[in-house]
Amino acid sequence: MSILDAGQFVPVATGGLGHPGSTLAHSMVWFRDALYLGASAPAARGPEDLGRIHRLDPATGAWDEVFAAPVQALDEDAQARAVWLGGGGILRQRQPAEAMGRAFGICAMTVFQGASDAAHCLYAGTMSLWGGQVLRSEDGISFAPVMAPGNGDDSVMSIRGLTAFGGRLFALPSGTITAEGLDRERAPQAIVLVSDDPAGGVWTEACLPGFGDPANRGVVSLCAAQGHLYAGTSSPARGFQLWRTKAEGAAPYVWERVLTDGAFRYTHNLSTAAMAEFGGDLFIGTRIPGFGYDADSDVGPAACEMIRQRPDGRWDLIFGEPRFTPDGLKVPLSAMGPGLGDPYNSAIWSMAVQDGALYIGTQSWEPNDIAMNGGGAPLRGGFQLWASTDGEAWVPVLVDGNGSVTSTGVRALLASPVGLFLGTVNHSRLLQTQALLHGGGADLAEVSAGFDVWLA
Amino acid sequence: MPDPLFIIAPPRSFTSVIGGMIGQHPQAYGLPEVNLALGDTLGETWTALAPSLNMGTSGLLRLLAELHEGAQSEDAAIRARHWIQRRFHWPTAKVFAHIQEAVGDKVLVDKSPRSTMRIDSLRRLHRIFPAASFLHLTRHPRSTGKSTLELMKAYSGGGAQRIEFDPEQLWLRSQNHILELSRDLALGQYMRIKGEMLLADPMLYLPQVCDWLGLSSDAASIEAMLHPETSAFASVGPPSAPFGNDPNFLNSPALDMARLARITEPSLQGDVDWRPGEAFSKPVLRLARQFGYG
Repeated sequence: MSILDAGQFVPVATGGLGHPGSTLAHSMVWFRDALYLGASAPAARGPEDLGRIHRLDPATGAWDEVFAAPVQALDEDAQARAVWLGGGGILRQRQPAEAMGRAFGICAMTVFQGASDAAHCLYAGTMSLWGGQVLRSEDGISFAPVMAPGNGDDSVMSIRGLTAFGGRLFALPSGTITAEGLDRERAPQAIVLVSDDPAGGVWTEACLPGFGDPANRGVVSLCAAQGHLYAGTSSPARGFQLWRTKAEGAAPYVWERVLTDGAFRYTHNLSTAAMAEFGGDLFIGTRIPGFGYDADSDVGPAACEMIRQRPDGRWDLIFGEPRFTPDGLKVPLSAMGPGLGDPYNSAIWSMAVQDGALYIGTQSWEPNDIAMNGGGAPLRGGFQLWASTDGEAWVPVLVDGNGSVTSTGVRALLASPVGLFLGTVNHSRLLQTQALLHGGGADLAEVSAGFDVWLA
Repeated sequence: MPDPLFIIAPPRSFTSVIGGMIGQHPQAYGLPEVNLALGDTLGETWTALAPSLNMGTSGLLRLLAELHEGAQSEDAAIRARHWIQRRFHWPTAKVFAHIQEAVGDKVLVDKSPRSTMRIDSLRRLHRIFPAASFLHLTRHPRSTGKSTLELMKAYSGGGAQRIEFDPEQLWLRSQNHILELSRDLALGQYMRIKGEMLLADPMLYLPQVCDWLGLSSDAASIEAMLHPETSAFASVGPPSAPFGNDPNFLNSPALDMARLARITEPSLQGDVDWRPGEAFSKPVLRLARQFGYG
């Protein structure tokens, strides 16, 4: 049991694998002795910015593009939707694209064998102007949709959180996109979908909307742990809630609320983010969308926390704000405050357990702050990767985007037989724009665009 | 000597009763509202308190009378005033040191809401006591505002009705100052709690407060904290220094546990009680939700 060090990380993909618009290494899964990587272009501008699935043969180091979303013409409604991906506002004046990918992102992947699957299949969730879907592949080469767009509501932008539990596949509708606007965070309904036979295309609601609480505006995280399926919510008015179910009987299942009010940090724990089981406990990272400030709900800025949920219902604060709670005095067991002591760490975006250590990847908005408020100063910062062998003592493994200041987040981590894969968010375009508007940007002239993938 | 605890909150935020409770811990000494953060010297503080008449000065007069003479008679209060007037040149830190020396090896518990009116005052406390603990006590803006207006009405003969005064802005200004200070404090040096939460279940929260401060949380200590009425400053003072705490607390300082258990938090939705037709401002809603009010 040991923790990787920075020198062990080597790049296995750079520059979005030749697609500068692919800024997110959004999802990863190990399938048929290969790495599958779901790439997203969340600010898609045209037919080049597609949702793609890449496969890495670890023996040769060669990448194949096994899926690229088909390109289709945009009608008037789709053009109006597409403009929001670029930010809306004055960008609405830009000439709209005439065609774009059926999906602009692959935001979730998992391996699952449903009732009518002959073997384990690869399932992927998409982001789309026309409603997110679930794709299915038996061989890792041919992919076909097994869900109607948005499961019948084409304003549902994404299908995220694909999680196998108890012989069923669970999924999270996420984000809302219409001609009138875009909410990247929240779907029209805060629900969890479930299917025991996704190949059949039938999905049902696994919970009541918002788990019966209208304060829950979205269900944003899923994790199987401790014999339960855990679900974390986004609640801008109260702070996240954590629910769990054994998923017994017919859906909607009986769910039990485990945490509420953002673990009593209230709105500054607006939402859960990544979750993982480690050492028999559930580790929950939190998040505020945006640059640590959620403009839609006027919450923040605040840095993220991590909480450890024990099987018996007790919970600990790993890093974050000390506080008095109905569950007792909570002090950070790591002796670190929010954001692992860094106010710019606004989310724990990813987690993975490799060789007895828990790894967590952050989203940092320090480069964005300097680009917008630094008076033209060179950017600094970038994502951080931290690790722990006991869940309480944490050490930094990678800092400052591992040498790339525009790599602001670790969007995906995957433990695999060949090592730990790390996929980044590269916000070079956004940072260049922010810096140029505020008198800087000279240091960004040569930076690469598109995600990177590291392996250690 | 131990570092003090400063309970920081806008006026009408339960500081008297909760400060009284924490101040009765056997290892602590609960001060009345001494307002020493208002100036760099005792003279500056006294001058700043002049407009408030004995509402602002009572606490320090009563404290000095109690510490110097073991009694809070009118004569003792007058002698305390003379003592102050002869020491206008004393730095605030020296006054605190004088109080600490008289109290001995106990944690001073200061609760002076006027300290939150200016960020300079809060920073002065931090400068004098870099390792002090700061407990941010919150109360729902609706009930804080209503309580503020009721007190003003009771003690101004209705004059407050003629003054353009919005307790919502007072709440917001104080909270912003407190949060600004908190950003300068080390991890664990600052804690926040909803007053409603603590009062509704003191047996749950007082031990947590003790643990945070490093004070004993044994049964005897908690029992002592449930009796703020035993404080020397939990009653009406002499004629020239009658206050030093919330007047309602001074008249009825004992905890009514049944009543406390029924404390509820009002809603942030709907009209502001003192501004019919208007909702709370966005900054107030934002902070109130951050503090856990719905």
